[in-house]
Amino acid sequence: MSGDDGWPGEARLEAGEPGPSTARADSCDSTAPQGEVPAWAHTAVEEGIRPLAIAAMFTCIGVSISGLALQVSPTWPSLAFAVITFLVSLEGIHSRRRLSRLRLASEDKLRFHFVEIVVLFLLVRFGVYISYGAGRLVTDLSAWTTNIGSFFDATFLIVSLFALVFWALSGALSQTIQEMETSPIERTPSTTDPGSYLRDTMPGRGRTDRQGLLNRIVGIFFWGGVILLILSGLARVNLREMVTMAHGRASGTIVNALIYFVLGFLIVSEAQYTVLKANWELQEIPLLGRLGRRWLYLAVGFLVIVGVVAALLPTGYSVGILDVLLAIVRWVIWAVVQLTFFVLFLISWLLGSLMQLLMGQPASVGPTESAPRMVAPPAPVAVEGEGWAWWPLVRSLVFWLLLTGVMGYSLFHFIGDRWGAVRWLSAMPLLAWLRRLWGGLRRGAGRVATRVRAEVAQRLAARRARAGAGTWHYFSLRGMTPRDRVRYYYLSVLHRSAREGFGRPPATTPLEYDAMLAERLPEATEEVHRLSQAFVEARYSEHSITHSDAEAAKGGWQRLRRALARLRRRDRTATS
Amino acid sequence: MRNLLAFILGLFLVAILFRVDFFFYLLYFFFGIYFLSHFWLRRAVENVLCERDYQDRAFPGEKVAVTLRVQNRGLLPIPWLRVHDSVPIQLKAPSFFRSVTSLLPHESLTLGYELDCRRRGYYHLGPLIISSGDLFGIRSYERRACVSSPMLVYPRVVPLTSLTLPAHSPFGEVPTRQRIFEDPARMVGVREYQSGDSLRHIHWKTSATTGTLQVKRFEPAISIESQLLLNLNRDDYSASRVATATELAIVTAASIAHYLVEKRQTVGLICNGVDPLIGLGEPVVLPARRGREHLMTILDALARVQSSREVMAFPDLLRQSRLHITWGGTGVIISADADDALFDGMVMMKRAGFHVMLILVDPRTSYPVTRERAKEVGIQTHLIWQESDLDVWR
Repeated sequence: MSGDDGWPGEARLEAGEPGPSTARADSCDSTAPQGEVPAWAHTAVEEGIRPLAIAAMFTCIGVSISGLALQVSPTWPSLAFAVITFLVSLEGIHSRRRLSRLRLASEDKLRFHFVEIVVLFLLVRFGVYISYGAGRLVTDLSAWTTNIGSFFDATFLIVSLFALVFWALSGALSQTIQEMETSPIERTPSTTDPGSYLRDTMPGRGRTDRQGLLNRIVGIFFWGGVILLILSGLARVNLREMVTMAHGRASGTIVNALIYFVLGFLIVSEAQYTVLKANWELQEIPLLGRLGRRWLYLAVGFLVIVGVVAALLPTGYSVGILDVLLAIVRWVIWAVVQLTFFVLFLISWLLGSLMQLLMGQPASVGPTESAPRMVAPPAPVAVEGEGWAWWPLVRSLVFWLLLTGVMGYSLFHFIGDRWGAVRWLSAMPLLAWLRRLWGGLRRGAGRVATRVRAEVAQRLAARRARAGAGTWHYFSLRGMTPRDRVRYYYLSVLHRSAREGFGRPPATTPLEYDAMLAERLPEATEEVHRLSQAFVEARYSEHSITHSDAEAAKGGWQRLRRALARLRRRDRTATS
Repeated sequence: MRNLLAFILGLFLVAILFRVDFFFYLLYFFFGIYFLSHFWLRRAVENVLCERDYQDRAFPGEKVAVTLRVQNRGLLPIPWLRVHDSVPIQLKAPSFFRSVTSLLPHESLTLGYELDCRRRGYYHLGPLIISSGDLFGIRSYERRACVSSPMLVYPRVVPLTSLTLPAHSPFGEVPTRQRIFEDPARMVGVREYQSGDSLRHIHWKTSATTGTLQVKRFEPAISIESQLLLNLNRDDYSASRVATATELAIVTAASIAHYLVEKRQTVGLICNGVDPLIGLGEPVVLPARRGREHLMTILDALARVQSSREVMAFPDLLRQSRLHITWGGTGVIISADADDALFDGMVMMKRAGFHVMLILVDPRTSYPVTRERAKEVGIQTHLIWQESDLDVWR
């Protein structure tokens, strides 16, 4: 039972939760953690997905072995070997699980394994005919009757040997993962429980060394990967050329290697989850949310993202690293020379102009010689006859940069993690200076970025404000109501009169301004009165304004516009 | 996965040796897993915001719900996040809250646990530590997400109703039989004017109604300005009862303070215990005030204060405390026992015009003898041996 027995509260997943927005923290009150996957899902992983994944991993190694074996012996039964590898791996996992459930005595275990190995040999013996065909089986059957020694041919022995190795390894891997889960003996029993004495007297107080088991799984995964890669590499290169380092590049995807590593990482991830979960269970820490399911999704998503990003990076080079460096150096020198010439030209031009001013005569023009042309350095010749091309150079440059970065980072952390060399390396004057420089650059870049962000935000805001202020809105007088049209005509006159210099003072009422406007426009006094009256009605009255009222106001507005235009022309004439 | 880097370096050699392009892809793939696990984890955990929400004051017996709000403010999901909040054992058993969860981007989670406030004290909740790791066991990361925050459990307050304290200050709230102290703020009626009555006490409205001069009658009252003088010097308590008796002394002080404030009297506190907010060697001095706010200040101090050996001697404290009590006020002395030095101090207080009341919580000498001795100098004495002894004033 958790230590939080009394907590009646809840754990709520409030945002971003794809499922229900509220989840009870029952894990605090029950022994079954909420984060545990459902029983059926657990069974599916235990009995189905995990054994299939392990068997598939070993099959991938088997495919690599077949690839190499085919180079040595073209009659190697590659398809049959892959099938046999897959089946014996499954059998190895199944037999380990069955034995752990049956809890047999040593003699019975021996008998069980003996029978199993005999069946395994028979499977290998007859399985190879998946590749050879039924006709070969009939021929061999007759040969075995005459010479039993021919039953144990070289192919059979080699395939059997590999099958035994895969059978043992797959069983061991599966059992290791299974051992990571918590056992009842590990949970602290009460002192009155007989299990308490048993637990206290067990080595390590009954606790399984899960980290050790995880390291074992990772070790199997990595060593399997090393073997797979070496076999895959050997299958793709000519060994004689390789000895003299004269072999060419091999391209193309090695599907079985990709499957192996993806499955391997998924199994390691699952094992890591099992270790953590077991530790949490033993510490009685409740698990909230859908931890198990999310773990799987995140692991898959993470591997897909990394895989896609890695696929976008250049995996090969057509220009050697020295040629790339040479090209870079040439370009740098060319740029420096160009810059120097430009500066010298500027200085000489200035001096020439100065002399011309002082002497008062044009500088003597001597015999002109054609200036030497500055030719840009060529791109390096691509290896393997790809000619003069910039794309291979850029691609190679990126490749070498990436490779250098990856190796530098890995080596630094590899050494630092193991022998505490980070401190020693950090104390080196050059590295310390580089670190300070890097820190200074980062801080400077950060300050610049902050300033640029602020400046951009300020300018954008100013631009938005200007755009908002000067936005031209299209409107249609026809779309307006008669009341709004009358108001528009009046406001239009106000706008125009303000432009002419006799706008309405803010404290003036429409009727007061009516008199002021009539005084300025004596030829349109009638229109001014009519429009002012129409506006007052439209603005303050509650009775409806008809279209004919609006049309009448429009007539007055048009005449007032003309009157204002005449006034403006008069003013201009008087000014000129 | 500590061997991942070794594998990457090995893979590099294999890739260079065989010149197979796909091996370089695998190199990027492995390095990407290693690098992103570092980058992702650090970024993700630093974007986790934790807040602890709770009521930071409680009375004994109360249950306080603590809410922890954990929020992932970043765009990176967190595969697992272990939340560990430390709690004092006096408030929760076991003394921590732990939980494991996962957080998607911008997801927040509300966790909670409950504090059982069984003992008075000044506690700290936290720090809240979150830890996380990547999906492959390459790296784990831990950080302090929420600092410690205080929690105060007040001392138990026993409601008293009939505590009698000796005091004679006028203009008070507690009625008295001594009619010399009439409180002009407590009018109880009118009577006919008599020669010598103050013109200020004439009730003009009633005089106009009745046609004869009427003067106001006032209720006699006294004010009890009390100063609680609490001794928390461990040397004055017996070793076997020091924990119980000091707590009892604090409960008694809290109950008397509550009683006096309820009676709208002024009350202060002077104590030689250790207040963690003040520091060692400095006594707690709260001048006499009235009102519930002041009561809470006294209770705050009584919740925090601890007994100690490295404190001012109580007789010295008595001498200093006279500066904080107004003439006619009452000093309520709560101590373990009354030795000669304490008697000397009390007598000095009496002579200076103060009233003194002595409450003993752990007398090592015979209590009747002490009571008789105190009676001779006009000091009320009470024995509080256990909490139920306070019932005499209920």
